[in-house]
Amino acid sequence: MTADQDFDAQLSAYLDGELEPDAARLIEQDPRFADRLSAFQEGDALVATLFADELKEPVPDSIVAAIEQANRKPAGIERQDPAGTTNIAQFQAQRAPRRPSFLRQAASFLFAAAVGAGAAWIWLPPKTIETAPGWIAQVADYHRVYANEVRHRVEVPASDIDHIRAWLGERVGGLEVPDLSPAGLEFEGARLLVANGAPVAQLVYIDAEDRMFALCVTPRPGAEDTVAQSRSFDDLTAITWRANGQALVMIGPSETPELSEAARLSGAIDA
Amino acid sequence: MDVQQLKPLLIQRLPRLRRFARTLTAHGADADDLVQEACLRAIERAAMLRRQEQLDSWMFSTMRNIWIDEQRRRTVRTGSGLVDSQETDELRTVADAADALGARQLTDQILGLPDGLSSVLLLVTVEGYSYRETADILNIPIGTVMSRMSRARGMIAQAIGHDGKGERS
Repeated sequence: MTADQDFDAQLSAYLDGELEPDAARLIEQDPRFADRLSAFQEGDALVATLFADELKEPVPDSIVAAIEQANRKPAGIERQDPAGTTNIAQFQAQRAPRRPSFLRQAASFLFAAAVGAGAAWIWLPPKTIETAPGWIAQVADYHRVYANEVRHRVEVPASDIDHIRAWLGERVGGLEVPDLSPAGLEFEGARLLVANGAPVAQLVYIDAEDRMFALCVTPRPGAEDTVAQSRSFDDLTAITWRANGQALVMIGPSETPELSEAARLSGAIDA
Repeated sequence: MDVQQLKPLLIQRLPRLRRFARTLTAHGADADDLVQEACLRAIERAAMLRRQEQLDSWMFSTMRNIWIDEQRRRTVRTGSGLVDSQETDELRTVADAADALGARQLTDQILGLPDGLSSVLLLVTVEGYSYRETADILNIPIGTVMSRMSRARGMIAQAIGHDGKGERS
């Protein structure tokens, strides 16, 4: 590996929050740092846009039909097949001969249609699947994952708060790390999430019972400020608002009084 | 997990599953076959899926495994198979990535990066997985995740007009 390649590898890991604090400080002092970081960030932003565009393509009906019909007993057949055998046979029958793509798609569509209608011919109009859940639902999903982590709950620990402000602030257009101790929450650290192709700074706090709360921030350039609204996601409650060109959410276990206090301390204005 | 509970979760994820599949196959038709097979496999094994949070990484990992097997079969059949990512030289420079045609060209080039570069790029920069999680999903060493990320970023920086030192060339 050349010196430039080694530098790129370190810088790339820095950008992903994967460098130890000492190594991160070292690379920040390198004369190549600012220019190369900017080039990588420009590339990342472009990649995020291009990959987000990939989600807009309509999903073939044949896949949806295959999922919906999988493991269903065909009408009129009493004996239950061993789990999955029908599906695997269907898939292999569909994919075995590698015909030209349009023929293959036509065949799979007809097959799915035949299965779906019990061998009757039906026409299903092209269907566009909802591309992705909203960013807050994705934040809630992330929250459930990381709330169960003990050793790796955050990428960058609270002790490195300056790096958190600089690194994540750069990603989301400025970042303050509010002191939520009046609500009984202690700052534990942060990580970078991605929702719908956009960066999300997740600031993680814990209460005295080691329950996880998080303030998540994502850029919304030009968006108007809003007052706080509360949304429920099963076991989690999210208080959301917009301010200063950013969308914010304070999320934590439902029915915890700390949550609304933490949102207020983070800048949310009551409705 | 109950099968009837799993199916809508899979259908909801199809756009993201197809996107990941395309980083593996580079071809849309292969990607759709791959997604479908992975979904059917998930339905067969629904009982093994304990937690919804694990579904994404489980699906990505399953698709990767199915695709590796498929590549091996093709290697036996035709003598062609995986191309080592280290053999890839560079992306073609794109005149204007903001232009629709330039963006499509660059997307195709990124999706066409062989053997894991674009999968790693997607999982880390867009899906938000850590290097450790990405290494687990793709069953590769964490050092390989790191080197593929920097290699992919370097190639993209060059394709949009930055030379190796961060200056516009």
